[in-house]
Amino acid sequence: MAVTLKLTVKHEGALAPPAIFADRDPVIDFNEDGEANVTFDPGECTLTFEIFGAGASLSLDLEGRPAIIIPVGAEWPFEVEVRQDRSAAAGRIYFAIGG
Amino acid sequence: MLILLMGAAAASAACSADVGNQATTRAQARQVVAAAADHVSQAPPDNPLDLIRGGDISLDISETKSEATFEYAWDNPSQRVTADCRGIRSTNTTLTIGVTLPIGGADNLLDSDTFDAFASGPSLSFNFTRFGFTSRIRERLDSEAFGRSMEEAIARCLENPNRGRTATFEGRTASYCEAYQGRREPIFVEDYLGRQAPTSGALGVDLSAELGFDLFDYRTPLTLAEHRRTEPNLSATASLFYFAPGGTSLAALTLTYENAFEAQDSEILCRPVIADPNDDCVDAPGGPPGNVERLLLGAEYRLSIGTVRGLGSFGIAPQGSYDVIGDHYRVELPIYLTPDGESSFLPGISFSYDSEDDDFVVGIFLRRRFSLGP
Repeated sequence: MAVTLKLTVKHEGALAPPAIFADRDPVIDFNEDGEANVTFDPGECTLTFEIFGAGASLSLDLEGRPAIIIPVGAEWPFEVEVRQDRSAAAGRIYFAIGG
Repeated sequence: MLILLMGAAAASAACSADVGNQATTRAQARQVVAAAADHVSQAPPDNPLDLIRGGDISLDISETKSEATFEYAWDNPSQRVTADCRGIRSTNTTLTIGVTLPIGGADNLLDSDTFDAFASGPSLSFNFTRFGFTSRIRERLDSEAFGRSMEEAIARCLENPNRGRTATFEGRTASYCEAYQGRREPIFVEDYLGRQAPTSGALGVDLSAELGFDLFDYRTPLTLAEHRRTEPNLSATASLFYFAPGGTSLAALTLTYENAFEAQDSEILCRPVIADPNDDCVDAPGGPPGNVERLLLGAEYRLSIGTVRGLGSFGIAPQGSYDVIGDHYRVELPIYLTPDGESSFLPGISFSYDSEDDDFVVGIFLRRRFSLGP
């Protein structure tokens, strides 16, 4: 049975809002607090992100904070910063959702 | 808001169905496209996704100027799902308007008499920026090419988990590498192969203009009569930025028009008969300011070359400009080193040539940061 969780996205210094995909689905329906409801099928799920802006930072937090598999050792909120010598950063988080 | 969210949910569902079933009919595809096109997310006021919005007042006080700047910025971030439901189009438009006014002198900021002590008058500035990218990062990470990079990175990791391409790690074992089997993670690929994430390309446009007034003092030679003139200065710039896919380079084209007045060089001016040099001689420009007009075509390319383990990362930024009116040009090649870790020491070397002075200059700098920001 699919599980709907609240995803919270915060960013600073980005040239435009970051692109977020929950599994295969684009997520753009954020409310004024940077929150969106996203639905996952139980099992191993992913959040894929891309953010533009040298020095920009991005924070992703998922309701219930399911166990992160990849990147190894990562924790919620998952935070990433674009290096000054890069124009953009991208990544993917793998985590486990129970049935 | 509820209606908007319901519409958004319907669009997402339509996109999910489309992505899951590649055999979508033409009619279904049209519906999906229509739903996606209707589904434009525009951030409401006070949305944390907003980048810049609101007013700002700043003071700039120094020995040479004392002014207050009032700025108002407005931005409009927006996202929509692409027609094929597989990407996100993300844009942001920013408009900034500013007014700068002299507020007084260095000794007494409230005394209007001290206004005259400074050379800058009021100015008005305007800036418009639009930036956009279409992210297909999910598909790029799922591509065969990135899959091969992952396999290569895992193999490199298994050879020596603690030795990456550009960095050294601690406490990583084979199980760390194996955890990435069958998965796609660009930071892992960068760690072990030094290859950047396959990020999207992007375009940015920047238009800015400034109209100000400068005050010029000068003397008439021989009589030493004092004169003051207020002259306008105008500059307008249009820039186009292209961020290449991969996130390691940036190309920019710039067109700048300047029409300003510049003071003549100061010189020692004296009356015909000098009784007391302190009274009969002054150090001042001996004539009114001259008008200078420039039309500059500029180009710049910034490239992050890569990282050398234990040293830092290197970047270059070849750039040039040509003054169409003055018929002279300037070229420069700076080479930057950004040391590993936190460092205020940001060294580099720069080679430049200016045709107006016919000068070739080699310079060393210690605190210039290489950045792929616009």
